[in-house]
Amino acid sequence: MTQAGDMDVWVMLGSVVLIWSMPALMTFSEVAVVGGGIWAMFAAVLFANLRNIPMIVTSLPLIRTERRPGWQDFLFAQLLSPTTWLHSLMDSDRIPLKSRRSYFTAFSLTVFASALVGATVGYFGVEYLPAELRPPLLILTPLYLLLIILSVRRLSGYLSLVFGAAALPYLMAWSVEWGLALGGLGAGTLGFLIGGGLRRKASS
Amino acid sequence: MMMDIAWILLLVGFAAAFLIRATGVVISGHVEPETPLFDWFACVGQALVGGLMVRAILLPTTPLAETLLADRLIAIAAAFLMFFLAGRKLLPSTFVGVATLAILGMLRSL
Repeated sequence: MTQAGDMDVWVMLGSVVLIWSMPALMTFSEVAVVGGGIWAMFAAVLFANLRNIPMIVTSLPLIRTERRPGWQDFLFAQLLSPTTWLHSLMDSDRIPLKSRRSYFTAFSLTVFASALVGATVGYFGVEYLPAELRPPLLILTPLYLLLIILSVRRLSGYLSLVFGAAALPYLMAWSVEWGLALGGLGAGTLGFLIGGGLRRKASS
Repeated sequence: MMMDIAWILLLVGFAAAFLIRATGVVISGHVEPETPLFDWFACVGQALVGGLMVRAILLPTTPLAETLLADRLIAIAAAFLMFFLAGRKLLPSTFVGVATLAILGMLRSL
């Protein structure tokens, strides 16, 4: 997408480093390539990045030892990706609390470095890839993330995924920004309530 | 695209992205694990990420749109089948999905 839009490779790599979120990156590329203005860019990336709030809110309490947010929390939040987030939900219990920040920061940096290498290879190497293999490779990331979500074994999580999958594509066809925000909030809340989120905690 | 404008747009995009992440950090200071509020945030996150990924597969804006919807659905089914039958292994299941889509595409182009 970036190469087709004649975006410089350094801007492309800078966007991966500084924005580091697939929906926001795709939004950045689209707005930049079509020549959108500064405010259009700000609003579009802001809404596209909304999904990071629940990810950060549920990752940081699992890894930090002090309640008051510090600079390390902002660094971790900047590095956080869905892959790290879902692994923090799945694996935190198996890692001692005092080691979790180091573990998941290293995990994030590994994902981050791999993405930079992948972006560079993709930018320059796409023309050497057999044409029939290019489209199938694009299903890799969304499929992998769907399977990670299925790995978090919790009824409310499964239901939220199903409701989100059913609602978001249609709501985002109506409005990309508002559909994302309202669909995520509605589907997540519905999954939480039907999945017994309140009842489970009340009984425990 | 002019280079200077591209870098300015990138800094604006970064400011917007970081504002959202900083908001998450501030809110997280008031949320404890193993509470209903924590679970609710996790559910909203799973709905958002899951919904976006399903949209990326079913209504792609990338060259993935060049493949048939039926082939994508078969590829997802194959990956899910592998995932649930083979001990929830992520990488082999993902590979099966990608390979299924590639093979179906090649068969249709014969």
